[in-house]
Amino acid sequence: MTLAAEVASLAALLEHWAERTPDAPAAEDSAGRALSYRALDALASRIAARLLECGVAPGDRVGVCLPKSLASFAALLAIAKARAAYVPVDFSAPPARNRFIFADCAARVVITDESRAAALAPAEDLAATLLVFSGDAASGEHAAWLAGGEAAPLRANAPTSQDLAYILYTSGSTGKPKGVVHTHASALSFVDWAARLIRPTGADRFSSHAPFHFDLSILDLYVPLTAGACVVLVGEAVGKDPFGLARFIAERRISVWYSVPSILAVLAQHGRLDRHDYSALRLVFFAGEVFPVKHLRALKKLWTQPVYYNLYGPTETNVCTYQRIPDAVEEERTAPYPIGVACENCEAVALDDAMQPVTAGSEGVLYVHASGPVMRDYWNLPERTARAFRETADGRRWYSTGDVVIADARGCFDYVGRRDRMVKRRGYRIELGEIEVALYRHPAVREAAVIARTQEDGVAIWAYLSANGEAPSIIELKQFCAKNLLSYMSPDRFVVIDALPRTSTDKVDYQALLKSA
Amino acid sequence: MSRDERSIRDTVRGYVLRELLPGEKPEKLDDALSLKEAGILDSLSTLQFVSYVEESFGIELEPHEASSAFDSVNEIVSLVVQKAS
Repeated sequence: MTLAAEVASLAALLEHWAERTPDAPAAEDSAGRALSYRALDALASRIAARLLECGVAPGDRVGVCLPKSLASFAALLAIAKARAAYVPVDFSAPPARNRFIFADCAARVVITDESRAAALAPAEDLAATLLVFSGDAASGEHAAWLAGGEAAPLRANAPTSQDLAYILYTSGSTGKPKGVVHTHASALSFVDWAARLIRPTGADRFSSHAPFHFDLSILDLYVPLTAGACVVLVGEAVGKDPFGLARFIAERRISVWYSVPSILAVLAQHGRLDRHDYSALRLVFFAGEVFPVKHLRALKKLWTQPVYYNLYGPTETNVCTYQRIPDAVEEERTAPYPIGVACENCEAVALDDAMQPVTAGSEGVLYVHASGPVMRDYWNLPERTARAFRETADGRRWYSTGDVVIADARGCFDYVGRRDRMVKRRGYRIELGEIEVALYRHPAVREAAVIARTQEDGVAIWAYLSANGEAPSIIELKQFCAKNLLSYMSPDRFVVIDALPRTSTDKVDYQALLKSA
Repeated sequence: MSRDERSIRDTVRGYVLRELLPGEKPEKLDDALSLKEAGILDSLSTLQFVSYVEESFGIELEPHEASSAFDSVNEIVSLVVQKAS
């Protein structure tokens, strides 16, 4: 049992240590600025008080469009203190997408900075009050908030674990992102499970590499708060340079690292990890996509002492299966490691189309019982939610991950693939249809079809286009995608052809595109 | 333009066209174009590009150089020229 099993909200984790170890470091940013538990609680209390002045009530949604910083971390906790749900978005995403998300969840308040205030200004489509963090936008530090001085800590007023904690938006096949709703209960179920696995102490230093709109951040930000440990925020600038990142992990004495495999693969290949001292590093977690074994093997030869885990789970379930990686990766191994066994707070089964369990060794779709860390629903999408949850003959309700797996006799799952058009790239999931919808908006595009090719280093997205008249250049198409799509959705390759191949029923022949070079 | 600078430019342009813009006509690539704004470079491709530049020219970039001054072909070339001198 960890602290996460005893409290009713994520904010209560912070409040617990603010009272017991007020001077212990709670969070540090890339520049080395640190906040103690007392200071982080005071900052979150000041922001929460401001949210309440803006009329935020329990159950409201509060948007967050800020770079990663001590102040933006405090804002997430402040929103929980105000008993509202936080809705974090990608700060560098196209403004129209972020506007759509905040309008979709009917955000009461949107917290942003001066650079994004105009793009998120209230209008007919979006009625949220803007709370603008002013200050040094370049450093993301919002000096005015940090300099706010002591304030009486604000305690969440009788939160219940069924209060909404956050809504994370993921790619939608219709071209519109959909919001995955988690309560404090589902978030804390996951945090409690992870804390039991990690057994953090006050001396641990957790990396926060994933951005806040990515579900990996839930482990990064809240598991340390179960033990009074420190969260080390990895800013975007540091994350861009492998040498800088490698040095950062060593110098900041990170003890628990969590990221997508692609970052770890780049560190292993280019980080010159042999130059630094990583003796503090005890655990390495990765999730979000398959870790190519050759890169994992290379990494384990450079970082020899930590224990490695592969975590698996869509945003809807937090993490639902896990696999410890053996100390030595066999030299002859090429197959990726399994996604592992169900977490202790989860029930996971492979079922066939008739919702019957499949036998060991056969393919089935992975279902997770609708309890524990599983989402409440998709925001405002009852039909989509109804399709995501299915019942077995005994009346029990299960979330369908859509991932095809094979289980062995002891319940360890191997990931096989998907039957729909969703792919994972750098840990983010992408509905290929969302990219097609965006490409069709380009005036010169007559037809668009998007496929994903699995390569040794991950997934590559190819867009096939036919044009009205002269085809746009590849640079033009990239620029168009930068304005209309998230960066990880932008296709790697554009191929202009006269006309898309069609099947006999006049549908786009994706198989023919996959077979073409 | 010195011969060194020309060969650095060719190497940098070659990488952009080969790795980031496969299929693009070389004349469409303006050396002053902001590759980040144009959606051609994102955080992961920047990591890989920085590593390539560091290894190709035997230099080391500071994190702030890799994030702020690593955007257009012109910027990357002058960064390499300055670091290599």
